[in-house]
Amino acid sequence: MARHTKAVSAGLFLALFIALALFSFISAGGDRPILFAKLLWSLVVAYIGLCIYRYGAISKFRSILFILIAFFFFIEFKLFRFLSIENCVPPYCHIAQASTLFNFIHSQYLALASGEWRTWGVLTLGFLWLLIMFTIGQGICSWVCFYGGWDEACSKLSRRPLVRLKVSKSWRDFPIAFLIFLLIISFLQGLPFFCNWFCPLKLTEAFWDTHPSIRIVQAVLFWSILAGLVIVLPVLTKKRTFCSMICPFGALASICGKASPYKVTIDRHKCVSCGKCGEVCPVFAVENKNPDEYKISDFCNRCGRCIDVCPADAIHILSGPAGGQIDTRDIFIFLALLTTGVISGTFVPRAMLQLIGLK
Amino acid sequence: MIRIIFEGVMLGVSAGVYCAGTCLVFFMPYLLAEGEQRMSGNLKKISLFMLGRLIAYIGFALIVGLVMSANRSIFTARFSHIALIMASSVMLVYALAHNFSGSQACVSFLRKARLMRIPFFLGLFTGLNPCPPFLVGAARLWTINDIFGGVVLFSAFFLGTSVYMIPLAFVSYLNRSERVRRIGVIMAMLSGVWFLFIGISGLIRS
Repeated sequence: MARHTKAVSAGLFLALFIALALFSFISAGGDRPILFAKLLWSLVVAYIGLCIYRYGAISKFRSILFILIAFFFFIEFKLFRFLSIENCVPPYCHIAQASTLFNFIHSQYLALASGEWRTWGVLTLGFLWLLIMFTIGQGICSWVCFYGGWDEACSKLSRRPLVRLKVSKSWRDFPIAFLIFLLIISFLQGLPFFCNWFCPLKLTEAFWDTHPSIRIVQAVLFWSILAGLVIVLPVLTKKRTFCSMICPFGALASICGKASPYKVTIDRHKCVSCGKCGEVCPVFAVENKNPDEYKISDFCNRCGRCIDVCPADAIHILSGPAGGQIDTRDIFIFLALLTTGVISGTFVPRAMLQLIGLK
Repeated sequence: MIRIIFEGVMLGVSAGVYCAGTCLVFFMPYLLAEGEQRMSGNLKKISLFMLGRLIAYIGFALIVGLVMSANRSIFTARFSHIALIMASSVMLVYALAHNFSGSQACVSFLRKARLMRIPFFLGLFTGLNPCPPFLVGAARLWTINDIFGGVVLFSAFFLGTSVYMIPLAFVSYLNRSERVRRIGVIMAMLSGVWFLFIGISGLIRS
């Protein structure tokens, strides 16, 4: 009982700390209603943190926050034309950033070489994403990404998987091959190739070709990826199929995310080889080399679902060199919540006000 | 003549980064998947690829010189798009055969086709594809109006662009991992499908 009370007190303290830190980050600018909305959003994020600390279930509460962000993102940036929202600032799309990284590096070089420091300053937003990847690593895909919540929400619609989808190693590596292909083609064409042809989340015709027959091909690709990978397959399989089978940002994060010190690790001595972690992993990140040995791959999004379901408490978020690793679950959750709050804090408060007609 | 050689080399060096980009999309996946772990082994494949490109360039210059009276714009556009379709078809056949190498038909195909020959054909067809530097070279070719001059220009252009192919020799350090080879095959398939589409849509547009 004393231990439980202590855990709740620690959770409360951390939640309060998250609320204060987050509000201090996002409170700058805006009138009184927006300031209140920001305060409210900081409290929501902190409350999610409190629930995670109190009940110990990471994925359940993370998922609520994640889907909420995707919902508000949809309201703010995708429905603005229908809701007549004025002065909507287009989002800074990290998926487009990943697939045009070479173009981005080239533009950085040009901006620096021209001495135009202001241009360089704007473009360094790309470095923010890299910085996040170096801290929470691929956790960005399950905590921060405002697109990922779409297929996560669809994957929650069915109670159990209606279709068991198994993905071979070759197909799991497809996003990496796709990313390299996109990087080269985008650089060659000087265009966001992924946005033009594949992105199922753009919901705009701005990128479509002028030639009617080419537009038809683009439309077919767009609708089939949206319907297949973002809606139908997640509903049927309870997996995040867009994120794990096509998203170039996920591929980039799986490479850069290696720099993150927070690794989800299976303790082989404790593992009872039940395979539940592999069953629930939404991004096919649990590999089993043989029936008794499970391993978390680089594609792990740190969503926490495997940690929550493991009956042997064999899965942990660890940091440090092999042999001397320490459990850093709480630090990771704190950082992930803070990052999520800061990024979402740039648009969620405004979208909240728009929903109730105050903006 | 020295002026033409200089022009060709400079054209290749200045615009070659785009040329290498186009060729790399084709050849790098092949090298990743099929290349050897020793640099010397890969050099043979790269040489075959380069030979294919050289023959493509010289052949193009010769044909253009011989049929100068033909409709130039249609000739260039159609010709290069058909070459692109050929290159992507070779790439697709290679990638599919590699991906389904478990089947008996594919094993016999791979044996018959002898994969060593593929770099040559890839080089031959990518050498003719409509990348910007190639089109600039082709435009200069119209103004020379001399068969030998055209061949020299495109040979020098080949030398200039070849500088950008040097990094390919180091792919042998990458493809030691089975995973990298697997990624190479998928990239080959993606490149094949994409450039086949570009070739066909280019033909439709032209």
